Parts: sequence; structure tokens; C-alpha cells
Amino acid sequence: MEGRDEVLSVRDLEIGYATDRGLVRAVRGVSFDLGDDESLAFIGESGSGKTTLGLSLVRLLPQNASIARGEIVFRTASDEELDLTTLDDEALRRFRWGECAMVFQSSLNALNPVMRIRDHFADTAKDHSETNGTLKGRALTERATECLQMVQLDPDRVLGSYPHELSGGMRQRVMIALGLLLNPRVLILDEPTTALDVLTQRAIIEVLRTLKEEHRFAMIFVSHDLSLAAELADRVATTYAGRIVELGEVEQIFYHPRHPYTVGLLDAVPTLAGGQQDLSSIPGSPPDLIDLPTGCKFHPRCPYATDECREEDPPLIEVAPAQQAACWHWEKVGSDWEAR
Amino acid sequence: MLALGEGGFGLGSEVSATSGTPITLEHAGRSYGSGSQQVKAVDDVSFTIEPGQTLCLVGESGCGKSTTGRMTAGLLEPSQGRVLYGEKEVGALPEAEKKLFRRAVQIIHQDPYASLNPIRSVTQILSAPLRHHGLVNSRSELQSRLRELLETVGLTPPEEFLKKYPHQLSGGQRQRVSVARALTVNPEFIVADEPVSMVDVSLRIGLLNMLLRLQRELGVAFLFITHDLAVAKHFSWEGRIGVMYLGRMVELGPTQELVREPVHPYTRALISALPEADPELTRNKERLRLRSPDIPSLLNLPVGCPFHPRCPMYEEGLCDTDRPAEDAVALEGHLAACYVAARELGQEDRIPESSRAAQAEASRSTA
Repeated sequence: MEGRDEVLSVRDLEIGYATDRGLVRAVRGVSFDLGDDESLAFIGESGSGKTTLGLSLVRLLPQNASIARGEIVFRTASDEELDLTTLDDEALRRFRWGECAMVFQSSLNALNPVMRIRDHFADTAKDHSETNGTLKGRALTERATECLQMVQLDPDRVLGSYPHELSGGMRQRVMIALGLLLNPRVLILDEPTTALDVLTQRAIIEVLRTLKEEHRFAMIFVSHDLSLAAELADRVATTYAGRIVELGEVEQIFYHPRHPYTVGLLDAVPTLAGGQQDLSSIPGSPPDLIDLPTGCKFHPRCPYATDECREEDPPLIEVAPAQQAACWHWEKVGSDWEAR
Repeated sequence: MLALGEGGFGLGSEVSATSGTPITLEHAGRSYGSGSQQVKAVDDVSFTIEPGQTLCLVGESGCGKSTTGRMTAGLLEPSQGRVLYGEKEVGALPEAEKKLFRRAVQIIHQDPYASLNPIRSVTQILSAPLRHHGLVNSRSELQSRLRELLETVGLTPPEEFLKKYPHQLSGGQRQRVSVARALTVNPEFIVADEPVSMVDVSLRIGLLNMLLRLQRELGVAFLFITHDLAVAKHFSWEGRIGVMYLGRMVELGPTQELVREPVHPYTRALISALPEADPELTRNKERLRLRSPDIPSLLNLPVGCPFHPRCPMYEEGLCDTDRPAEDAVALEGHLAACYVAARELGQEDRIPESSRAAQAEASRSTA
């Protein structure tokens, strides 16, 4: 994207997990760029590799995972280029949190149950202090207060509390506040609203929307929930079997999809607005990442599949301005969609 | 996609003696604990589900919808009120009728990973109830019945699934096995507790549509429990939705009407808060702002309407004196527990004198 600064460029990333059964190919040849004030949503089902991708961006992959190929280039505030795949531990420590923070899926498990919220902030600041000089004492309390206010929590009540004294929605907001502590350029949120009740979800979405409007930083959402992307994303990447199969601006993806998997997802989600809908699910189930089908990985479930699809995996190509899709039949998919 | 036999399901050749019995909850409640620690998980809930009808219960976690489901299925005795099967109280059914009730009412649980025994194959899981209730007489009859059941739930070809164990199946397939198990005994009523919430997005609708087809073709009645209003709308388009909050039914009405014109402010809040998979729609949706984001504890319920501390329509005196009965608003077949709505809809006579007096008092003191 021209005219904006890119904070992150991922090129041809391949990540695998070594398991007893064989190599799990969780991320296969993923490339994308992220603008420094952009929010990008990765949507896909469980096992589509989206969480692995998120973890790789802060190099927090489990022991048995390895980056087989590709690069993750991060541009810091001082315009330095870091290749995350080759950073050493010390450089990583400086990078994490200061440049790029992550909010994990389950806020109950991510917070230490025997530490007060105040101490979570102190711990994070201490551990990553090199990046920010030293944030401690009054400055730390001030910054923590500011971050908690940014997520619409009452610092006086929250700072002295233990995680179990807070509701699920409050804990999730504490996690977001912790992520913001060192002013990162990128915030990665893994399923930030999953397992929360509707009204709590709404509160989190509003907090994120306000943050996005009032502060300049980039966000990456990883979620199975299309409506979260519809609410907050500037761009959406549909992932399937470890690959981005469609990438484009949010309106393009929701109103003019060109990949049959995106179309299938959109057709499978009931909405409250409007009348009775004719919904159908995608036949079959997601593939086994150890034993992937030949050609396009979606072909066993795809209504458009032909011999070409069974033989060769289609590349991610430009199908419209600022929209890419990986499908041999994207034109047909598009004309069928528009003809509805 | 689902390979169903030409002539529908072909199940239920034998119609049970109790076919077509409504199930009623009469002021049913369930408390846990005692003294100051007593919690009313469900309080004063009433509804009737006629044969072949669907009621969806929606609400946030802790609102008592699962407890209500378990009481309806006879798995939990109500501590107040009654659960009726036809005219008779479920807890007092004689043994023989109880067995019939247990056959007539089945439950599908939320978590297909926990509700299937991991060391039993699909064949074993499905044949146990068939044998227990003496529904098959021979091995060949058992085999054909198993096949039929798997085809009904879309697990085809059946041969591929009969020998499998739960760990060899995906979440969606497991849930289909749970449904098949519920169908073994030709139930007339199924309580489905969040049956699709643990299934992948792309497969969810397939499962829902399958349950809908069961409902249509076998005439099974459903109590369908979900936290997702959009799912409830899809599943009970022709049926009803009940919205629960802190153990109480706050609104109950025909689905299309309830979604289009919700009466209770809590239902309106839920509908306006729900994110939708349509960027323009969801970003421009009008939101109902709550006065407080926090749900009160069941241990310390607010006086009057339990929603009043969060309610944008709150009026001093009117809302925090008496708890609105679940039929404070009673339009044709549509109930809501809200005095403000009752007044706005011209049902002022349903507001008790004490609340009206308290409101008059409050407005005097502010003036």
C-alpha cells in the first residue's frame, strides 16, 4: 500500500510443528504487509494456522515449531529493520512488548492468579525495561493508570485487585491495557472476544474501536468470528489450511468475495437483521494439516473444483484493486456472487 | 449434502404411547445453597412447549438457561414450582411412566468431546439405548437401524463411521453422533443445550439445518438453548424465543416479532449489541447504551427489576420497588417483565399500586 508506512512485512513464511505423526504444516507460504495504523483480521476455522501465525510475529512459537522458510521484517519507530526470524534472545526481549505486544486468547489463563493487577504491570515493565528506559515507581503507576483508562476500567478499583476478583470482560480489558503499556507499534489480539457474553463483547469492541481512532498503532486480529472482522478490520485475510486464500479491504471481502471459501463462510453465518435466510454450511471438514490434499487445499470441499484444482495449488493473485485471491476460478466465483 | 432417504427419515415406525404430550414449567425455580448464600439460579419460570414446537432460550452465561433445560429434561428436580409432562408432575411419575418420559425426552449436550464415552465405538454408543429400551430384536435389525440413524444425521456412508471411536471424529461429526444417540429412542422432545457452539463456523449451519429437518420431518419438539440470538432466530423462525436474565424470563414471544420489535430493554440491548457479519450494518447499528456494564451477583440481586441498575429506561420508584412479573406486558402470546414497557404499551393496570406510589413519591422529591 502506497502512502502509508509499513510496520510489518511478512514474506513467504512457512512454519511446521514436528509431531509423532509427522510434520504439521501450520503456516504455508504466507505473505502480507501491515500499515502502521491499519487493522488486519485473519479469519479462519480452528486449525487454519491463524494462531500459529500470530505467535510467530512475536516469536513465541512452541518448542516443536520451527520456521522453515521466509522472513518477518519489522520496522521500528526509529526506522530500523529487524528480521524477526533471525533475532537473538536479547534483541527479541527488546522487541517484544516495546514494539509488538500480544493479547492472548484466554485472559483467565494469561494472568497470574496470585499477582495483583498492579504487579502484572510492574512485571511487564521490568522485564522489558530496556526499550523504555526504566518505567517504575510513580511513572509506572501513571502509565498503568493511563492504559487502564484507555480501556475504560477504573484504575483505583482494578490495580489492587487479583484476577479472580474481576469479570471475564474486565480481565480481557486488563490484558489489552497490559499490551499497551510500553506503547507498541503493533498489537496482536488472538480471539479477543471469544467466550465472552454479547454485552461484554460489545464493550471490548467499543474499547478497541476507540483505541484505533485515538491512537496510532496497528492491530492484528486473529479470530474465527466474521463479525469481529466486520466490526473492526480495515483489511481481512481469509485463511485456510495454513495459507491466506483471500486478502482485501473489508468491504471487498464481505461484499465482493472472490474465493469460494470466503463465500462459504459468509453463507454459513446467520445474521439477526433481515428475514429468514437460506444458509448452508461448507461440506466436508477442514483438512488434516499433516496429510494435505494435492493441489488447492480447499478442492475436496469446493463446489467449483476441477482437475486443475486437484493438480496445482493456485497462487494468490490480484483480482481487483487491493484484493487478492488464490483460486483458479475466481472470475466464475465472482460473477456467480454478483449475480445473486 | 446430507444423504437422507427419499421418503424422509423412515424412523419412528413405532409411535410411542405418549406421543404428543406437552411439557410445562409452572413457576419452576431452582436454588442452590442456603441462608445468605442461597442463590436462585432459576426463579419463577413458566412456559409450555406443545408437541412439535420449538422454544429457544437465550441469555448470557449464568442466566439459568441450562438449569432450566435440565429441569425440563427431568435431570434436575425444581426446588420451587413444577415440571409437568402432560397433566402429571414429572417428579411424581410412577416408574413405568417415568421410563416412558425418559424415552420421550432426550438431551444433547454442548460439549461433544465430553458427552461421548471415549472408549466406546459409534456402534456401541448407539446400540446401548436401543438394547436397553428393547427397540431391536435381532442383530440384523440392529445393524439396519444403526445405518439408518447415521444416515439421518448425515454421517455417510455409515460403514465408515460404525467402527470409529470418538477421537477419530471431528467435533462436528461427534455432535452428529450425539444427535443420533438422542434419536435412537424416537424421542418426541429434545433439549439441546448449546449444541453448535463448539463446532466450527463452516459446519455449524449444517448441524442446525439437520436439527431443523428433524424437527420438521419427525415432529420433534425442541427446547433449544443458545447464547447466540442469531442462531436462535435461525432455529426458531416459526417458534418462540425466551430471553433469560439472572434466573428469570424477561421476555417470551414469537421469534419474528421478538427480533423485530423487542419489548424488554434487556432484549433490546442484546439485539443492538450483537456484532453482525456485515461491516456497514454492524458499524452503523444503533446501540442501546447501558448504565452499567456489570452484571449483578445472584447472591445480591437488586431490589425491584433485576435489570434496573443497567437499564437505560430506568425510572426511580417504578423500577426499583417491585419485581415485574414475567407477564407485566402481555400482548397476544408475547410477554415481557418490564413496567416501563407496560406503561408505554397501555398496560398501566398491570403495574402494582406500590410501584406507582413509589414513582409518584420519587418524582415529588426531585421536583
